[in-house]
Amino acid sequence: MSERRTPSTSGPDPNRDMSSANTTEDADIDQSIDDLEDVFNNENPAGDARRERPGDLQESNLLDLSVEEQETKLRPEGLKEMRISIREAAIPSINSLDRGKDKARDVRDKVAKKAFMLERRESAKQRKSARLEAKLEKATPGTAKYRRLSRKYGMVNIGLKDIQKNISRLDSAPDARAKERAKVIGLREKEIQLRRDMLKIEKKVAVEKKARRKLKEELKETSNAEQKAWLKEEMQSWPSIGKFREGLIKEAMRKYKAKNEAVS
Amino acid sequence: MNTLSKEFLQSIGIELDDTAYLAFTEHFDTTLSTRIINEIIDSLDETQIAQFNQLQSADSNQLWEWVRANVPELSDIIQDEINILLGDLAENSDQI
Repeated sequence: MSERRTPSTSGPDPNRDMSSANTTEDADIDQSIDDLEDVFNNENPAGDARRERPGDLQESNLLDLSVEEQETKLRPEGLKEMRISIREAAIPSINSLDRGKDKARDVRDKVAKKAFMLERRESAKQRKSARLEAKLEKATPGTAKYRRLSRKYGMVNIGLKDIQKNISRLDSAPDARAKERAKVIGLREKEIQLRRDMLKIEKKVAVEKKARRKLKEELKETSNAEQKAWLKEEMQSWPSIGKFREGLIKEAMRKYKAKNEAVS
Repeated sequence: MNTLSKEFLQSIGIELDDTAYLAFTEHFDTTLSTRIINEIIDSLDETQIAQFNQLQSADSNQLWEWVRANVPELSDIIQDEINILLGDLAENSDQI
């Protein structure tokens, strides 16, 4: 658009340069265009400013319209209609975006819940395994030799600690005399002997432990296994088994809910 | 007795119609109670097995009383078994 000029209301300017006929004619045409623009601008004071803000309107849509239609659209009520139609056109896209977000949130929640349940299962399996191991350990009989060796080992260990304490006391005495020094030497010899005894016992204990481990494995495989399998089968035909099962399920769910509430 | 709600199953990605839901929860309940019973029996020693076997014609309350008195880890067993079974369910939910 050309530079804004002062609106003209009364035809050609009397002070205009009249030295050339052509120049005068060109100037008149220019003036007429300017006047028309000024009239348009006076009727639509916000027109220029609006056209300089492409964000308000969809330019390509406007260009498709006739001049009259463009002017109608640029009026406040026209703009309002345009905004409404743009919003209505955008609603399906916004809804679809919302649905996508909901779905993503849903998937994320499911994955988190599954991970939590798997983690709990692992802890439960570890507890179960530890419980069975402890039970088996308790049920495995210790051999008489193992018990005797364990007792001996314990006593030697106590004797050794006692000697070490005495050596330490005598060594740190500021006025340690020759008699006490001789005592220390005797205690050190005894200590060496006790350490040798302990090593021998440890070797024997290791052999016994191995035997016990083997026994435990055998026990794991055979401990009342047949009786238990029979009882599991037999129990299914007990008259009160249905109610007993129901009670177990209720108890399980009660515990699960209580634990979940405690976690949350 | 429908231990698991439909909402719970949906929350881990399991969508079932009414018929499948009923069959599924029934199977879940049976599996859970069987696993707990097996675990209880596995925890018994020889003497306890003999005692428990004497309760064949006892009612469910008597069974409960005996189990509570003789299986000190009952609470842990129940809790662990339900967590293990639900973990199995979560792991296989995509295939259900």
